[in-house]
Amino acid sequence: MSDFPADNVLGDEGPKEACGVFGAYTWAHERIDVARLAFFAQFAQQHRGQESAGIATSNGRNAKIHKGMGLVTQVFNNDNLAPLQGHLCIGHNRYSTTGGSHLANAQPYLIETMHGPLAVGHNGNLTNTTSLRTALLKRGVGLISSTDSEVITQMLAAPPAGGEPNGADWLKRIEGLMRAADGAYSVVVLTRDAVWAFRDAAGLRPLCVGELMGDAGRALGYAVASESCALATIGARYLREVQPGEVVRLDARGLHSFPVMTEEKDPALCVFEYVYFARPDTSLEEQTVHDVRQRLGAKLWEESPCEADVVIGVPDSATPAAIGYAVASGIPYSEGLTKNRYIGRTFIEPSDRLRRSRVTLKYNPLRANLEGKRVVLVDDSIVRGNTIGPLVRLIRDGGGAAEVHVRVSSPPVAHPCFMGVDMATYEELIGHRMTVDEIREFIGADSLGYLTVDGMMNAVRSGIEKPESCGHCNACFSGDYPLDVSEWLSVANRKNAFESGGSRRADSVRSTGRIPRQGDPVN
Amino acid sequence: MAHVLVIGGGGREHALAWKLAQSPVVARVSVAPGNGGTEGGKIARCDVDVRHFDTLIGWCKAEDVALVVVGPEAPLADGISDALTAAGVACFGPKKACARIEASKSFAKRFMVEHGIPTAACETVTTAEQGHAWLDAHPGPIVVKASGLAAGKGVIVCDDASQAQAAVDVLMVDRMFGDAADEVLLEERLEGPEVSVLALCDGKTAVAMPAAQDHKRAYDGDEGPNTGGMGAYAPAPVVSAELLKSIEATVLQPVVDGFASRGTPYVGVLFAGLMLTADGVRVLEFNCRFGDPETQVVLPLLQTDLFTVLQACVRGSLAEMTVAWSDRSAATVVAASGGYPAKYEKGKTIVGTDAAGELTDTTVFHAGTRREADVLVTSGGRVLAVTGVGSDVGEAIERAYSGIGEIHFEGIHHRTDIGWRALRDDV
Repeated sequence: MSDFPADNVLGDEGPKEACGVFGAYTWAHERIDVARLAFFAQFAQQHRGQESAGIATSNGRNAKIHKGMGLVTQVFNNDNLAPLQGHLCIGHNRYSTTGGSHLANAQPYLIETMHGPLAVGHNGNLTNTTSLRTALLKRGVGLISSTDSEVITQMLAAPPAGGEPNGADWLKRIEGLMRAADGAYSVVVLTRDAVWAFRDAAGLRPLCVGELMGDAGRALGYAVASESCALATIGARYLREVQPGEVVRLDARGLHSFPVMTEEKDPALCVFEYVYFARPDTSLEEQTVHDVRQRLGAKLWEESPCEADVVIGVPDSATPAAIGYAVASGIPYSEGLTKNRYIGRTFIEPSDRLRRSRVTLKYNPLRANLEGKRVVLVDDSIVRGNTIGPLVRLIRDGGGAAEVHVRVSSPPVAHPCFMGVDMATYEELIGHRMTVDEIREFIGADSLGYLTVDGMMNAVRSGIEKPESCGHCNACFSGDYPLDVSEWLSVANRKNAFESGGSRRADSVRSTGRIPRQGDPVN
Repeated sequence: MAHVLVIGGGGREHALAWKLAQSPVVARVSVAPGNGGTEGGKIARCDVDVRHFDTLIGWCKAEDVALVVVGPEAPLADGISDALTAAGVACFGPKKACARIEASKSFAKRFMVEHGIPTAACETVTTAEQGHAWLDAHPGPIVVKASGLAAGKGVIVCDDASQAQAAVDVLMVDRMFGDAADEVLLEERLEGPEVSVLALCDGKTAVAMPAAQDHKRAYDGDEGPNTGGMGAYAPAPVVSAELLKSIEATVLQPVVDGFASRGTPYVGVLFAGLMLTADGVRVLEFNCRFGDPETQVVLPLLQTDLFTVLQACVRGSLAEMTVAWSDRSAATVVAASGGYPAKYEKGKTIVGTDAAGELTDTTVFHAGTRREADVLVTSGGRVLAVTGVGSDVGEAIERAYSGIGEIHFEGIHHRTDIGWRALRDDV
């Protein structure tokens, strides 16, 4: 991925994944430091959200929380982790782009209810937030932020229809929420004495569960995470994915499963998780993302071969696909670009002179590997097209390459996303505005080749053991949406109306992925 | 058809009454004072004043009581069994001389030493100065115990000598438990899992019941203040059938033999608090009555008629019968009032006990409950316990928690990890 959002000078490039979640229940008698557990799990999922981080813990009686703006390592230190005591926890990393970047929107949300503390962390995007918000406001519930996650929290705080004669019935509350909420959500919930996690009926966003292991194979509890890489980091053994529409509860007596809506929708895991978002060591649908990316690269060679001397990838996300392309083609793979791994999100604004050459702040060409060569530059996707052009020039002018052939291990992104990725308008998508040849011209490449939708799906699905039970959302490539998004599409098409609407900037529409409201963030 | 009187008002007494009421030869079970659960079917509360033995004897004769079963330790230490037996009323519960094994820890210690019952090394002191002197000579982990009855709270576990010195001062200088600490025991602190084994005793024979483990601390992870018990399960997986036989032979039977040799036969329940150390079983303490909440997990596993068993104990014919136990497991979870074991409110309406009792293999045993007109309300710290029975401890625990999930009252608190040793230790 190599696009810069127009106003995010040095931020991580490309579309923003909407959050990473984590939760764990450890046996109280093991005295595990759950705050530290959550810290390292969230650190492993930093790529899923870099704007704010938060951890809530409970000791079975009361809950504690700390959250703040910035990276996990910026938000937490020994002093503010120490008070987060208890044996169960949830954690959250959040992304929003413009508008909603303030502490009020940071998660988890923690509130006090009739039945003790309730904390919620959410990854995804609801598609009927407006009606849900209206229903809450009509009931007299005040809302302090504009996030879906607060809506989820407040919906869970209220007793379900039919009441609760025997105390809080969290499962019934969650089921009520799942039936009312449309869209993409992987949610973790902390109550006084349990961690709940659930996934929307189509399973658009990932969520998996593992068993925390101690010395000599002794189990210490259970954990849930957006990505399995977080489980590995904290010494948890990956067990399985939370099924689409499934609710799991982690408590003192183990892992409990409730198939609340598991048979109601066809599965539609976001294929962009494979293409770009997920960490390569994460496992989705029982296959390692790195393997899938290599297959995407190999398929790309099959569909779009090239005569060249060297294959390089845009680091780091396109590296596996570049290796796959090189192995399939027999063209040697090499490193062509060095990326500053620590650039992350900086609060120091570059001067105008540096801003013009922002790509060089982040990448340097390795001239020895490029000079005089015909170079295949593999990228995983092109969304807005702001970065790949400067990179092509950097390799040609700075690296001295004779030819630069761009190959993309996914199809053109031509349709907006309303399921938790911040590309919500047609206008911003270069794959919608231009033909492939126009894009080639725009980015200054000698040739440009994309993977086809069929080729991509073939590469993704060929490693799945039971492909008949797995389904994917590839709407951003195909326009084939798994949910009813008609209302959304009309908004996405009316982008120009927002642009002329005074303070509503185009990128606020892009950032929200839902019926826009000023300052509307992504969850 | 017999009339049985159960003395006491806790969950233990509800469990006793519930089990006795299942006997085909029992027509009526009266519980004094009972609680909100000891009503219905064969069971009824009664208000007879059990502290005045003459009144009690008169009531038992007038009501044709065939057997009195005593729950708590205080009336036993006061001699209720002596008085009833002397008046010709059959009583299941040890006499005053035998109850000393619980009422006086120093007596119990001397008794164990005398009869070769395995226990921790120990010293009895009567002044703080003696205590400090002994502790100076014995560094290392120590348990400091008030000898007298201190409502189960006069035991202070210390990591080192300085904590132990402070504990001696709390008991003997500050006199936190008053006269109960006129004598104080200083005891080597043992390490290992704790189990409770209850035995039925008829004066000659001790028959062990399945071993139980309980959770004394108020909060998950065995944290927080000590309580009367927040839950229990039986049989404890950590005690094999062979180990139970060995405990019966080396701990329980020697106590019964010891009292028999003293001319004061032990009739009633002998409750042994044990630690399974690396060097073998050690007795931590004896109680002279059914445990609470151990009773709520042991009695549901009893297959032989309880009334017949208790009658055999009173008649001294226990050796002639077989006491049979189910091969299933039981677990109980206590629901307490918010704030327990410190200050808590009473009078909260309780809902869901009927629904909980209707689940498969669950039983609700009331403790701190009472009925106000038709409404069940809380009246104590430990309000009730739900026992589940299943093919293994895990299933029993799940069933107990299913039952707890049906029950609600304002401020309800229960542990969520009852049975973690059985579930996690995999022994």
